[in-house]
Amino acid sequence: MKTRRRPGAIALSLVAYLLLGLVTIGGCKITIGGGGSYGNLDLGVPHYHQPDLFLCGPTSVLMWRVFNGLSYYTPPQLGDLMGCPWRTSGCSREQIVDGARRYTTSGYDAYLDDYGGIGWPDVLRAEYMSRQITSVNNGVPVIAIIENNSHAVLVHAGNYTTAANGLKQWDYVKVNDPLANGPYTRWVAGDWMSVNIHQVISRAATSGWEENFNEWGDETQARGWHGWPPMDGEWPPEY
Amino acid sequence: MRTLNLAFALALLLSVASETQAWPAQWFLESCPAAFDIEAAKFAQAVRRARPGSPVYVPHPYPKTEHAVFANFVEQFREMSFDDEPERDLRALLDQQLIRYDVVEVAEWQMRCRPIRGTSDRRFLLRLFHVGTGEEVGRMTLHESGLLGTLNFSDDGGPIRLGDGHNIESFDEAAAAARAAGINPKDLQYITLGGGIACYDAIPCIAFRQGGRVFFYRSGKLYELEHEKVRVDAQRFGGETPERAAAIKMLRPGERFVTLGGLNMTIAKPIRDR
Repeated sequence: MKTRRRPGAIALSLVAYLLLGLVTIGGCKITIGGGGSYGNLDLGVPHYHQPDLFLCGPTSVLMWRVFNGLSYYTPPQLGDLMGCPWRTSGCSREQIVDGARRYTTSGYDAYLDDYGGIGWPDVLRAEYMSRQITSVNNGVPVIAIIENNSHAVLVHAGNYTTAANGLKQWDYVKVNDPLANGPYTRWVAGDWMSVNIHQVISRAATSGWEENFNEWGDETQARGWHGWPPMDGEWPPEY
Repeated sequence: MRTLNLAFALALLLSVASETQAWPAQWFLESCPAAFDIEAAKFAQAVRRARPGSPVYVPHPYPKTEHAVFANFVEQFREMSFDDEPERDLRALLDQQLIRYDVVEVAEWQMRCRPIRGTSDRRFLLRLFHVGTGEEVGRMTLHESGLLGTLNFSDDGGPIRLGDGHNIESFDEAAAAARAAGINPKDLQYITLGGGIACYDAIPCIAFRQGGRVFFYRSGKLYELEHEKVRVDAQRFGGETPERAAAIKMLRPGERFVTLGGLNMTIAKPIRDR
């Protein structure tokens, strides 16, 4: 008998992964902070500033690289090694993928992921974010390409709470933004989902995202996103 | 009794006036496809109907006053948990009522057409200051719905700034720079802008126009947009495409590609003072 894959069980595994992250990385510690069902997941990736406006891609790769314990390059050096025309126009998405493969260890199998495809848009979106959180949960940062392809940042942490309706709520991600804000940029989940259009992500690090999605998706929502989980009777058609 | 009624009516009128304060109209160089407008309408409906506990609930949907923007921020900020010092410090300052604020409206020229919220015309930049010291302790951005977008804190205890030290641009300085270049600036507004010039929501640039020409100001420099002559699909520009290769060849020294808010980019050309 065919088992229907319920999209609700798929979606915001983001939060679920944060929860899993607490279990796996945080040493089975579900509660952090005072009293509530709080949680976080933070890889502690070092932050570097980009010295030029077109070096966000190489600087993001650099943060990933140093997090992997590899040697430091200056962002211009890494930009040159990656073959980016950073003096005029910045890296392409493909050059950032190639840079992650060549100049990090855990990004050896990085690929360009986006939320497009055939299917229910909310499901595709949730699956995309699920892969992102799964990767972070597995200890591998993600380079997010944001704001109309105009910037790249490194995702390395997230946080959730329990919402008043009892669902786990993914609240925000922490990103290392190489441009200006330093390590203290928090992006609220719904807003993040509205600007994050591609990601450079390790295929191995996303292993298991579908299972997590199925297990946790029904119980999670994202602050600032009304598309998930759908109300009863509003499930998208099977596909 | 009549005096009381009059006072009540006056208070009511003032209250209504403050709640209906309209933000100045903003202007754009690109529109979003109709599908984005439909998505925006659906999103607005969800926000306006939301009740406490909903992930899109805010006490003042699509706020019309600065106070409503601030109140939305406080409500959402208090619901979230934070493990880091800047947020904990801010929470303590809010508890002690030691925060004053300033709201800056910013037109979305970086990513007006958003996949899950649809057309998004403006952001609110909420600057938070310590009442006692006057220092800016955080800079938050909110979507036009009132939902919180980003939380930004300085990484060294100093003011929030770009790598070149610039913090927030001033209309007066932008207008003075324009006049020095022989431009009579009209319709000044804060904008986000993506691409080769840093104008993001926490540190926006200032745009203005003169006739059909459009300019913006960043870190003491003026740029003119070539939007009437050059438009390159931002999605295609981001990848290894023939369009990207051709676009890069068009650039002369000092020129940069920037977003227009819709789906395209254009060239920003530096303007020299007269």
